[in-house]
Amino acid sequence: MLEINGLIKQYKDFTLECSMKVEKGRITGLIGENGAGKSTTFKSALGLISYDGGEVSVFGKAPAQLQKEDRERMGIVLGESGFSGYLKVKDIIPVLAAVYPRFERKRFIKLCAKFGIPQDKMIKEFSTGMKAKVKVLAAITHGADFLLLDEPTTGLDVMTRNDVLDLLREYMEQDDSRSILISSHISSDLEGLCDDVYMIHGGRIILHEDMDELLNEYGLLKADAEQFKRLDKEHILSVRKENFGYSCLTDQRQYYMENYPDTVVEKGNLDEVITMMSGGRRL
Amino acid sequence: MKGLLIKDMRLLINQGQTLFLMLVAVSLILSVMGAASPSFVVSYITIIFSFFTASTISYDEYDNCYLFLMTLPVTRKGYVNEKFLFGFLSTIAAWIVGMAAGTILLLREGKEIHAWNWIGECAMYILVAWIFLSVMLPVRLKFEAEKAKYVNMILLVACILLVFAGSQLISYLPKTVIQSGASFLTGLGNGGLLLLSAVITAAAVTASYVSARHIMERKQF
Repeated sequence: MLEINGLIKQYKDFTLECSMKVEKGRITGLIGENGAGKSTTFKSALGLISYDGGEVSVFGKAPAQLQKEDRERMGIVLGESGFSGYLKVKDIIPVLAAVYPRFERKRFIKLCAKFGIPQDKMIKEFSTGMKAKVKVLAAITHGADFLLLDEPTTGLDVMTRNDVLDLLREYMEQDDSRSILISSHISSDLEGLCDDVYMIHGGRIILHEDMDELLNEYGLLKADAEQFKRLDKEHILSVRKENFGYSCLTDQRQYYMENYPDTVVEKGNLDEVITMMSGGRRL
Repeated sequence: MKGLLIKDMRLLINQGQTLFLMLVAVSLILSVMGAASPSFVVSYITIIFSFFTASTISYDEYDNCYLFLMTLPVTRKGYVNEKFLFGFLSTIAAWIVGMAAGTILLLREGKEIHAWNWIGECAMYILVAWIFLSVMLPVRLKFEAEKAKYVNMILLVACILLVFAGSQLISYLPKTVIQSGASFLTGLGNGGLLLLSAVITAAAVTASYVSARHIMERKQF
């Protein structure tokens, strides 16, 4: 669906260097702190900005070569953007019907009613949650094969976030050849949704891993100075100095549990992994 | 392009309706008070309303909507085409209403005027509105709302200076040149002048469209 090889985008004080791939039938996450380069990656993939090097292909085509028909196959949500606030939902329905030949008008209206989205109210008067839901509904109701969702859950409360994530799960269940690229800085959103995840920090991809692998095999070792000295460092990805000694990130949790029973080994989660990968010292 | 046209039509209904009714009301009140002529009514409604088209770009910019629009199955070329088409259609609509109001006032005043002269005079106003549109659209696409205001002001001052310089320059031209220029214009007659204005407007619109396309192609979101 999407392939990015050695993409380079230079700004005055920031450089993005990124390679990643979104396979058919998979949900791929892109996680990183604010300003890490997630939105720049999306904008490059969508042809909204030019880039200085590398190759980007969506459906096998460079962004500049994407035709109207290709765009119809994509559902896009950009966290910082949406329909004009001076329009109402009843105004955007004919717009969506005109730009997307496969727009499911009835389903869109039904889902709006289900989520309590008023038809006759200016979008600028909507809550953040309502605006986010409208954008996601617009993206999933025109038979798109590929969703590109940049921070679709930012600023939402837990309940609304779960609603949005459920919509995405439902979208994937309808057709297993569909794909989603979703970015977020909220790890719990991606943990329960994605098949694989890319971690971006300072404009660079610092980790790519299958989500199951990450949750089952990664672990956090908590060792004092003496235990740390004795540790086999071969499977340690990152180390951070702590008050009690050292926190160490490993992708071989089982190995350390079996061979170092006196060392605390905690199960990995996305938050810990990103904290260690972006803040720790790489070995 | 159809989707974008619907969007702007809806914006027009939501936001432009009040402006439009206000323009009609103000011009009619002024006319009834004897402070404005029927010609003023047509020009006022048509030209001021043409500004609304440029303001739809501001609505597109609100909340970064621009960015989202460019992710729809819409090309940059399609966006520019739609803005020009919407501009033409909305000014034509405003012109028809303005002309109807102006004609009613004209008949009420009981003045006698040749129908074609009146239509020709009114046609000049829509050409002026399109010239305004030709300047505003590329400026608005190139610059953000605040900057665009300053650029428009600079362009207005530049036009005034140009006209002033031209009027000063005429006194330095040989009499024969001025006379032949004047006789050329009078020789054109009303129809010829309208045609010449239409050609100038077409040239301005073409130049504006080409530069708007160029600006949009290079725009970074």
